Amino acid sequence: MEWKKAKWLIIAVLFTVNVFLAFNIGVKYSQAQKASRGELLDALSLTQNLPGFTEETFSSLPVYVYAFSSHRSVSTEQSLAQSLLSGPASPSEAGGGVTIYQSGEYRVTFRRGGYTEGYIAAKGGDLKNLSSVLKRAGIKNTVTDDGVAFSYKGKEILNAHLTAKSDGAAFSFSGTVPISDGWTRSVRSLSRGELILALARHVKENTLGKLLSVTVSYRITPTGVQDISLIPIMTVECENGGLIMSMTDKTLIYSGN
Amino acid sequence: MLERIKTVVIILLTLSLFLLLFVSFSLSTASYPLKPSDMVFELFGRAGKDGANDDDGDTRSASAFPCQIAVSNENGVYMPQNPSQYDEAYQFVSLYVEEAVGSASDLNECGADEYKEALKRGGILFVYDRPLPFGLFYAWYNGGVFDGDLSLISLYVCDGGDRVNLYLRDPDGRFFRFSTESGADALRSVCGAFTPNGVFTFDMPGAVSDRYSPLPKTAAAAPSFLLLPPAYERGAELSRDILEDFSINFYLISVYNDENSVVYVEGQNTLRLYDDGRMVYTGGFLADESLASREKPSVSDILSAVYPRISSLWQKTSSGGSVLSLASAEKEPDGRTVFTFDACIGGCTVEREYAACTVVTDGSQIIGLSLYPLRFAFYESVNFLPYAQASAAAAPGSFLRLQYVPDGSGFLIPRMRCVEGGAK
Repeated sequence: MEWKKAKWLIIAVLFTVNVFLAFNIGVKYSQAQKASRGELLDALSLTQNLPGFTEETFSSLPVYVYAFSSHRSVSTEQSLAQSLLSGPASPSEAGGGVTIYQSGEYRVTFRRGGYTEGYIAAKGGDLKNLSSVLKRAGIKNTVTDDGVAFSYKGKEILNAHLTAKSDGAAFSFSGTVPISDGWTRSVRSLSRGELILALARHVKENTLGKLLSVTVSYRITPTGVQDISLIPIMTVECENGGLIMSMTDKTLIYSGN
Repeated sequence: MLERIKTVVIILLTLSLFLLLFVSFSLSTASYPLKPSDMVFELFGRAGKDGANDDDGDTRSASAFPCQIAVSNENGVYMPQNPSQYDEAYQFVSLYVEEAVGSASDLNECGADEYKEALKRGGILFVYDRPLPFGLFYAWYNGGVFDGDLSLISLYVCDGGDRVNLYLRDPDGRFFRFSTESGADALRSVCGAFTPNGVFTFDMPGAVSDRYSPLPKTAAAAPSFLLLPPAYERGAELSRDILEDFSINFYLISVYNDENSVVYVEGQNTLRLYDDGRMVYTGGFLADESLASREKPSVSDILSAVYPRISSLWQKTSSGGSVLSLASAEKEPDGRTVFTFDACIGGCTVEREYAACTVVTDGSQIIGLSLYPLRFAFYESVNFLPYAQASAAAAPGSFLRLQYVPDGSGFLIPRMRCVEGGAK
């Protein structure tokens, strides 16, 4: 057979195999979607008709969410501190994850778990460098009435918040800020079925009443002196209160009536 | 020209073929409909990466948990009332205690009056069931060596106005104060988030137990538990990963039976599995790779290497939610160090015939390890004498401690005991 004709044959075979694989993938994906929905419905049926535990309530719950982790970077913190203090500053390690940058009466402190605070000259420093560091790592910030809120991958970071106040000559700020050079995926959330069953148990034990809404967000959690993680959490509102539960290990983080 | 186009098409179709094979394989192995970027991560990105980096040597976990947690503010004292509330409170407040201990400096002894005023100002109190060296806590949260020989039975992180002070109470009733670099605003904020349900003894009329202990005002109740049979009774085969935690090679073991135990032998290593689920190891293996290069590892170095291993063993052999908490670390005359751990449920120790875990080390080698797993399930809530009345009836100056004991008929029940040594 001529090589030219063989090429047509190879193209035909490859094209057929590609179409077959694409079709197979489509079928498998559709089956996975159905299985995922089936798992959701099975879990709901086991919640013994607790009020509010319906498919509608959980339809917007993502099938899975990843937790992310990051290591504190001395160079990033130093660069930020220097831009805020408008001059060179060396770190002073106080221990326990507390790093202090001082310039005269002005000071910027970075603590474990992303907590940051500072007292800087009102005109001397600015927070634009902070904003660009956050942006590079994929963190978006939104100015609210209470200060600045942060989000990652479209989900609010619930306990990340920055507030600031000025007394004219100086400017002080504090809050938990997810400062990072970049986030690394770590663990994946548990299945929706497991989460729903755990949620039902917590709602029942804490007598929270009818489930009204479920939202997914992130929570900054220190995982060591120099490490922080963004853990996906479910924030649940019920008739008689609410709760917050980790999506990676079902731990109850908060419950209140 | 046409031939070149055909060649390019063949190359593209071949690449597409491999890509579709990869996606098809990923969908076969995943239980979720994964996105393409997540498929790459699941197959290639996960191995060995859990996000936390322990290589810098300053990320050590605590091996001791308080038997009581109290968060005070201007309105009173909050104390967790059950294991779930304990876990929740610990999760919220431990960060502040760790930061305060890690940045502690400038040690001074202070009087009881100053300590009492500090308790009233507000802060976070961790009370420990047994005296522990402050040096261990300093090593855990600072990574450094504490120059001194100080033991503690409680740590109190206090709002000192502009700054945060750390108070320490020793077993002899003395009080010490450290300055810290902890943030006062953050501490104030977290203390204010708790709704008080108790008071300190000095504010409770008629109470005679230790003056500086927190006491709940609400009716006293605690869960009781049904004891479950051991996961590995005699005759059961120990799993490979448990044997690996004892550094025993699954493929080289010989198994023997004697009167009341099954014995696994691999070279110099021996592991006995008793009828009651106890596991006793003798032999020798390196506690952790990180200790290999250290000639004389410190007690905190060894503990930091040992604890993750025994914690992992405990999780695999126990159930119900208990954790191991350091009870003592004793250096023997022959140079060996013996670590003893209690099983704790919501901070309350479980008293049984044998310690939950004992580890004997010789330098960086673990030469003996015994584990007495605990498996239990919630049974019912039990009411007992309210703390106010217990405090009035207790021996003057004693500490009131809640602990769990087996009642002899298959249940773990809460019991309040008085421990001498407090302030009158």
